[in-house]
Amino acid sequence: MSIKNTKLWTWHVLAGLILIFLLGLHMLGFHMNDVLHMVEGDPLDWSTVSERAQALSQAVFYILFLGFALYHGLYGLRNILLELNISDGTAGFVNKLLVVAGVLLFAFGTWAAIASWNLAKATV
Amino acid sequence: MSNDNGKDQNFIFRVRRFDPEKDPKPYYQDFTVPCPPGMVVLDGLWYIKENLDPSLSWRSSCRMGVCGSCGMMLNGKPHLACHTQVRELAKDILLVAPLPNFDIVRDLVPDLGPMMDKHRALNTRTIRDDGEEMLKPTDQYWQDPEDLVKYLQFAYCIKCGCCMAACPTLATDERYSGPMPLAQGYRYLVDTRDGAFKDRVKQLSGEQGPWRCHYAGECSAVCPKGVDPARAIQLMKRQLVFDYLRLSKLRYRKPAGLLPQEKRAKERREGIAEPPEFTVEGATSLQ
Amino acid sequence: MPEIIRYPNKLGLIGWLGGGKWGVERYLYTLHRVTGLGILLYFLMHIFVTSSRAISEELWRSTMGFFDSTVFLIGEYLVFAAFAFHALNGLRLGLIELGFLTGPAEEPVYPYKSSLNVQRPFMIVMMIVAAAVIIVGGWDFFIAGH
Repeated sequence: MSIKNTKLWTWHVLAGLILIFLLGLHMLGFHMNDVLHMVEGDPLDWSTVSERAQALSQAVFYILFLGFALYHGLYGLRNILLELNISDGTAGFVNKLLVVAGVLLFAFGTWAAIASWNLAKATV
Repeated sequence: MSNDNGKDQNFIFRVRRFDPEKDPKPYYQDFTVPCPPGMVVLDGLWYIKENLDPSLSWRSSCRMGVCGSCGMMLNGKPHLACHTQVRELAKDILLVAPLPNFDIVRDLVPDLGPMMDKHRALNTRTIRDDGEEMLKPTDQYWQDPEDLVKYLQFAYCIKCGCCMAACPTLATDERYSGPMPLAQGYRYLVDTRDGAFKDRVKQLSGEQGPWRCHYAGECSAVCPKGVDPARAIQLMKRQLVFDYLRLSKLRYRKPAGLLPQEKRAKERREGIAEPPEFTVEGATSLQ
Repeated sequence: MPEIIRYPNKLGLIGWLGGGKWGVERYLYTLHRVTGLGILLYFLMHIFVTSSRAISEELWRSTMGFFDSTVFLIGEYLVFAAFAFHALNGLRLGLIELGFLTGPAEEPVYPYKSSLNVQRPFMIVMMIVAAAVIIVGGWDFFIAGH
C-alpha cells in the first residue's frame, strides 16, 4: 500500500491554490483591463503580444501556469470519471489516457511558449 | 404548530412497496393513518401493519433513536422513522421510501451489508501491540479529556446509513467507502489509545478513501445523531496531507498506556457509589 | 434456500444533482463540477488557439479575427464567470478540505450544529465576491471595451 492518492490529491489542491493566483493575474490582465488598466493597450493586439513574448519571464510564467492548470484540470476530470462506477480495467485506461494527454499537451504548450519567445526575439 | 389541535388528523402514508417474489419493480401504495399530535412515523407504520396490511416490512428495534435500524427516506430526505414526528414533516401526504444507494431487500428494508463490509475493511477497532493487556485488562488506558473530545463526536454514530443515502458520490460510485465508514476510520485514526497510525494512513489513502468526498455536506445535514461525518472526512484529509508533508506529529505517537501509579487515586473518593454485585454466580472480576 | 433478490436502488447521476430539499453546499458542489468541466474544455482549446502566436503574426491576426464576434464574446464571458465562481468556491473548498474551516470535533448537542454552520459565513462572503467579480467583468466585457 502506498500513499499515492494522498500525494495526487495534495498537489491537486496546491495547484488549485497556485492557479487562483496565476490565473487570477491572467484574467485581471486580459479581461478586466478596461477597468484596471494593468496592461498598456489591447492585450490581444499583436504588438502587445509580441512585446510580452520577448520577456523570458513570460515564457516561464506560461509554462508553469500550463503545468499547474493541466494537472489540476485533468485530475479533476479523473475524479469525475472514476466516480461513474467504471470497471477497474476502464479506470486503468482512463488513468493512462489522462497521463498521456497531459504530457502531450504540456509538451505542445511548452513548445508554443518557447517558439513564440524565439519569434519575438527574431522580429525585434 | 398550526395543525396541532390536539385531535387525530388523517395523513396519507405513500409507502414504496417491493416484494421480490411478486413485483418486477417497486411501486407506491397509499394508506390512511390517523395521527395524534406527537406521533412518530414508526408508530404510523405499526398502525398500517396491525390494521391495514400485515405484509408491510421495515426494520426497527429500539424505537428511541439508539439502534439505527429504522433509517428511511421521509418526504425525500433520510430520517430515523422512530424520532421523526409525522406532523413535523407532512401537511397531508407523507412519502415513505427505503434509503437509496442501498439495494432494496423488501419494502422499506435496505441491504446495509455493503456499508458494514466497508466499515469493517477500514479496521475500525483499536489496534495495539499489547495483546495480553487488551484481552485481560488490568486497568484502563490513560486518556486526557482533550484527547477524548477529538473523536467522541464521531463515536456517537449508530450506523443507520442515513449519510450513505444522502451522499452524492455514493449515488454513482460503489467503491467509495462513504461517510459512515470514513468517519469511523477517522475516529480510530486520532484515538490516542490506537497504535496503528502509520498503517491507517496508508490504508485510507486508497482510491476508495476521502478523496472521493467533495464536501456537498449532505451527510452532516441528515445525520440524526449530530455526528458530522463531513467534518471527520475533512479532518482525515488534513491528517493524511499533513503526514505526507511531514507536518504532523501523529506518526511518532506512542499509544496511550495505563494510568501511571503515581497518578492513581490512593483512596476511593467520597460519594462514589460502590459497583453492583456480579450477576454471574461465583464471578470475581470483569473477565 | 432461494437466492435473495435485491432491487438496485442507486440514485445514479440524478444523485449528483440532489433536488429541491438539499442544502446550498450540494448545489455549489454540482456547479463546481460543471464549471470545472467547462473551464477545462475551454483551456484545452485555448492552448491550441493561442499557440498560433508561435507561428507568425498573420496566423495570430487571422485566428483572433475569427474569434472576434458576439457569440465568442458571450462564450468567453461565460468562461470568465465560471472561473470566478470556481476559483472562489475552490478557495473555500481548499480551506475546508485541509481542515481550516470545519471547526474541531465537538460534543453534539441538540439542535445539532455541524461543520456546515462553521463554513457558511465564509461561503456567503465568497459567493458575494464571486458575484461582484462577475458583474464587474461583465461591465468590462460588454460596456467598457466597446
